[in-house]
Amino acid sequence: MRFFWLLLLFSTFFAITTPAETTSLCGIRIEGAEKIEFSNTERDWLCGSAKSPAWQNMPNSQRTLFLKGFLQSRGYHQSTFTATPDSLHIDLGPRSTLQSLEVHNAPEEWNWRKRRYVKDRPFTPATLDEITNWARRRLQEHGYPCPQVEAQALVLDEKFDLNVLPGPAYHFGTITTVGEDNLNPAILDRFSAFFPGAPFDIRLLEITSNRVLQEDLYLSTYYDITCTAQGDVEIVRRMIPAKPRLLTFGLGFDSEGGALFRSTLKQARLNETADNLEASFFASLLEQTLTGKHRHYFSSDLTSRLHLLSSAMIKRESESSYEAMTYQLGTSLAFGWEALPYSGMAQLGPLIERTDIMRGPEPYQIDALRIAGEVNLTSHLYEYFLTNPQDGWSVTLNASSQVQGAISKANIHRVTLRHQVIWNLNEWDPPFLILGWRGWAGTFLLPDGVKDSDDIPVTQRFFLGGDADLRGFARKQLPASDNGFLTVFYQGLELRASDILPYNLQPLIFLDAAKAGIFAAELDSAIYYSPGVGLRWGSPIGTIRGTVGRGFVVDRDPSSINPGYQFFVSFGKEF
Amino acid sequence: MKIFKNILLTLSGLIFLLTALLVTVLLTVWFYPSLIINEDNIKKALTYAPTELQAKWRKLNIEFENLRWNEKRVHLNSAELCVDYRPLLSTCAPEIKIDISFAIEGFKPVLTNLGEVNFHISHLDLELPEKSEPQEPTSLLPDLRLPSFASLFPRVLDLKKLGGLNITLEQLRLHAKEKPPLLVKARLQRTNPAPSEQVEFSVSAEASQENSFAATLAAQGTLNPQSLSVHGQATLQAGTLKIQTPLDLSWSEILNLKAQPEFQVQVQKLTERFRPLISLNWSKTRLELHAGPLRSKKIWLGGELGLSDCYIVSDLHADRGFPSQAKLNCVLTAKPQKKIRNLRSVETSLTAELHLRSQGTGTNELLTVSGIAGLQGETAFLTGKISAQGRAEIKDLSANPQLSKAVFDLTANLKVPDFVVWKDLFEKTPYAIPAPLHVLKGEVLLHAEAHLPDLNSPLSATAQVQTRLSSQTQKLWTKTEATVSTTGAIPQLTGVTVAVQSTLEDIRLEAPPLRLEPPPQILPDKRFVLNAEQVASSKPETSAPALKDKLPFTLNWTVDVKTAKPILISSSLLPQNIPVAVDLHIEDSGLMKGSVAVQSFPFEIFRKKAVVKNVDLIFHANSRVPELSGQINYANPEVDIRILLLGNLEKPRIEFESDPPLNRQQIVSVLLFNKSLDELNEEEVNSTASMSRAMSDGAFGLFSLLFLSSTPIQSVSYNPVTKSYTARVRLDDSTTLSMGSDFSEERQFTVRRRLGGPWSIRTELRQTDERPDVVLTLLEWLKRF
Repeated sequence: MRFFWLLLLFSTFFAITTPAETTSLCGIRIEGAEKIEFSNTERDWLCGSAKSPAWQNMPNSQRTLFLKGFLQSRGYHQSTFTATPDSLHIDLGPRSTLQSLEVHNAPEEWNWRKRRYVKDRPFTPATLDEITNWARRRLQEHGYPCPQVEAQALVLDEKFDLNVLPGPAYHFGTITTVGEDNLNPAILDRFSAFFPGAPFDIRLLEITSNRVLQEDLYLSTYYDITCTAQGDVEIVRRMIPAKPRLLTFGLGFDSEGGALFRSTLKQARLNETADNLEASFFASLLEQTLTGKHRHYFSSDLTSRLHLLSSAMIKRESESSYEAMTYQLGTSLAFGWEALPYSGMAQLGPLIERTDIMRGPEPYQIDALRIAGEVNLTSHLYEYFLTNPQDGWSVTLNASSQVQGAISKANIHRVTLRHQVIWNLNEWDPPFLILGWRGWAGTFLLPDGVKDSDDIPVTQRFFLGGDADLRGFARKQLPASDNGFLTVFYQGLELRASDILPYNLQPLIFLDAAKAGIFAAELDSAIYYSPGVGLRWGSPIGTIRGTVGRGFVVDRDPSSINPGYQFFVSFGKEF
Repeated sequence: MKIFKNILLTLSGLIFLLTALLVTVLLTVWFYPSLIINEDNIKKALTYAPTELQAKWRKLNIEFENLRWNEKRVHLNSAELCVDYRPLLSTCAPEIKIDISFAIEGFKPVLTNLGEVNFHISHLDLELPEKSEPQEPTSLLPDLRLPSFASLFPRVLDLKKLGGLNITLEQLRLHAKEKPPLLVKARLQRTNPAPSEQVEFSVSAEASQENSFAATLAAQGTLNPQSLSVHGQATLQAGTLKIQTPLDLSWSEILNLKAQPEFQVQVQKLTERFRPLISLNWSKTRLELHAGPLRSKKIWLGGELGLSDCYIVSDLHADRGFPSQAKLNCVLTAKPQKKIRNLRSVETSLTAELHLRSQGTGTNELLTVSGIAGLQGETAFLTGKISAQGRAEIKDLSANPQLSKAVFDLTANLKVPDFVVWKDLFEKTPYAIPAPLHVLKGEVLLHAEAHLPDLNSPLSATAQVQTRLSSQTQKLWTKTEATVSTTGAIPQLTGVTVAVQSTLEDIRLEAPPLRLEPPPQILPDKRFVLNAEQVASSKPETSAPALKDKLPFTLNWTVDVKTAKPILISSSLLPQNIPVAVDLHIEDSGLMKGSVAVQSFPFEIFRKKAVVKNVDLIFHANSRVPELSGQINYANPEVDIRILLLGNLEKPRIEFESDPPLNRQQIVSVLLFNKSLDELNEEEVNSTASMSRAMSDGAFGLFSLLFLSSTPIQSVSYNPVTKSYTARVRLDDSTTLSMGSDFSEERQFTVRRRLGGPWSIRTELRQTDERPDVVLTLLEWLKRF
């Protein structure tokens, strides 16, 4: 008896929860689990159109054929059709959803089993096209420029079967350039993320295109890959030249600096070697900067990235602990190179700087002549996923030295090392969990016995706290004094789930930790750390992030700050 | 001499004694047969019988009664009599009663009375003997002469003396090698016990054979020496065929059989029942078979089909009984369900007349068949006449019939007066004429001729079909000629060659309606199959052999299709018609060569007047995919642009040429926005680049080009990762529509992403001395100058 009641209850529930829907359209009656919404063109094809007299009153056999295609595009592959003299009745049958994917003959270096978003996708030709394009794209990322993918969809198994024909592996060779008359194509090689002999990866072509666009030499640039029947591959670079002058006005936002504004006037293609001159103005509540830069490519080898970078800058900073004006004039020799997984950049040159401290520990003015140098290594994947970080790494070593007597009053050396590493955990495709690790360390090297120097301007000193490092502390909240640190060691971890929430919302947790010291090359005993959570939204107009962190201090100096909760909202910033 | 005399006397005496003894024995046996023929003697006799023969009974009485000196009456009464003579025979009869009287008249036994015949056989198993050695060759021509009933009735049987008759056979099993046994049950019983001049009887019988048939008969009959008549019901089931019919048979000089069998035929999922009236008149000289009207509304969903006035009448050869002269007639009636102009009912009559003549006997027998056949009807459905006449000689009829001579002529003149009738005829069927052809009206003409002069000459046939169809916006005038010729003699045909030449004289067709929205999925995607087995079976190596391989002769065919005037195709998206010329040659080997060429016509590409010079699909003999070769010309006062369509149909390629020479982006810029690259704004440049790249990647195919060319494009964006594009088109001053190839939400990898107009999103890595690397994103307004 109990079984009977359970059965009745279940049947009633089932009947209520899965009502049959009927779609009626010009003698067509479709019954199934959902109502079918046809597009206007589909309606024309089924019911006829007054504009096409020859396509009216179509026979049921033809309408059946069309309907099979229309329903297939909605995931119905087992519909049954019953024609009567006056009508057409369709039993929709089950709606198929994709349950599994099988790829045959895939090269070892591509683990297609890491593909996500397979199960429960619509079992439609559009999905099959998407998965086929995905497979083709992944092969193009793994050395095969001309792959072929034969796809088959097994309805009863609800399975996509892809047979992959990767074709021969390809290594980059000569690139043909089409579409530019005024600029020597060799100049474009300065921006190449690939080099002859490197294994083919279509992403390197796109990185190269973006570098060219970033330089504002061209309005558009892209690469055509032509595959011949004989297996030959030809890569053609196409571009649309830009007018030489560019004026931009940009707006951004973050909770530290408030509204951000930047205007740039850039003159590209100053000469045959594509020198450029750029003036920009950046303003936020905390910082206003006027910058001028000139890049001069002096090498006779136009492909060389060696150039002379001259710059001038006026900057006003208004932090809680100080207010300063900085004037810089400098020039440096810059050089870049490309290796297989990364690109490198190095620059070295003199820099004259005047700093006026208007508010801070005490008002003062410091002049200095420094030799500044920087080496940066950035992986191609980091560069590729810049707008949506999910893989890659970047390391920057920065050093500057000033010598007593050469405008400067003291021997001061400053070294910083920054890094950022991002992992796509388990290499899911698309990523599921993304782990980021960032950190920086910096210190001053002073003469023996000297732990601090008044000739180090507050703008050169290190502060901690804020969205850029310790997110449980307010911007530049550490140290409590206005003098800043002379030694800092910071590390942060962030774990982000890429797509467990709808609307492209990505939750994240993080843990930042740092040690610092108010003296050169010396760390205090206090440990600062801040766990927290956040949310990232990849909006159509850019990334918006919000975090809340709680600051903690271990072995806190009683006179130090009293940490609490800290909120940050930023637009465009990434980990 | 005395000795000789004594011997002679002794022998004479001995002969006399023997004769007297024989006569005495015969007389004794005649007058006292029970002395010899009795149960004990039969038992004794059986001991001398072969061991295979076994007989037993519970009761066996044979009583003899002397009615007159030359007349005897015999009573046989047995119970549970069983006889086995395996494997040939096995039977048991629970009861047998026979009361029979006979007399010896003129040294011949004559039946004088049949008082009672009562057989009850519980089972009777018979093993049919295997076919013996082939007999003397006999003619294949059947002797169909049916003698009168009186000539077959035994004269000695006087029905007035017949008493009760009751024969029951509960189970008869006829065994034959390699076949299931034939099972029979039967019961025959006289229904008028009083002696009279005729016997009335009832008969019921069932017969069946596993996996073959099952039949029943229940009838009442009357028998007299002159005639036999039977009335009853019979059923037959063989496979899916079920027949149930009343039977009305009378047989005297002529056998008349009337039946109205009801049988079922499965048509797709529908079951149709038929009850035609069949009558057979059969005599010694003539055979007539008439089939009554037959109607069905289920075979043809468009109406009712019927057969009427169908008969075969044949005279039988006087000496040998085969059909020597036969006539066939049948009328097919089609009555459409939907009222069709000038057409209520369509009747087509088939008539044929055959003459058979046989000469010689045995292996020298030669059969000559000559005849004429005609099919004609005249309605709005189909008018015309098909007539055929021929003569054939077949020799060696008894052993291995062979066609030795044949002459054959066929002529057909048919006309479909109005194609609409055919459209209506097939409208509700799976073979309905599809749009846009279904609106065509007009006539279709067919003329065909076939001629076979003799067996050693090839058969030649020609057919000509002309369509003269048109509608408000369309026209289909074609002329097709087909020639069929054979190689090898007809009985051992070695090859058939068919050559078809079709001329598309004047064709105008309408393309399906399209709107400015993504086109629907036209046909089911063939990549979707039910399961892996279906994939395997659809592969050529595992698929069923083609029809060509099944034929016992080689079949070669060629089809040539040419346009006399270009086909004009109109589309709701294009103001002009597209002219298409066809010149194709197709062979049975799969070879296809020739071209389908779109000829020059004015065209608007991206709302600019251009000229399609040509778009040719060229089929090469050694290539599966047709080559694409086309050119679209656009000219403005400053530049002449040629859009070249190259590659093949699977991978079309779009190239550009211009005079003065411009690069691809510049040409696309002129085409999309009628501006040079220098004059474009950021969004237009981006669109130009996207369009150009989409064309390079093959994402922007011919259909997209045609589809979008009729719309004013505001912008185009292209995602190289998913190879999909989105075009924003302006429908009117206030409405824009985004359309494209399923533009995914996956974000493009780009540093500056266009938002439309001068706006963009710029993302960059900002590095400063004081702060760690941060990715900075700004909403940017920009201007180049």
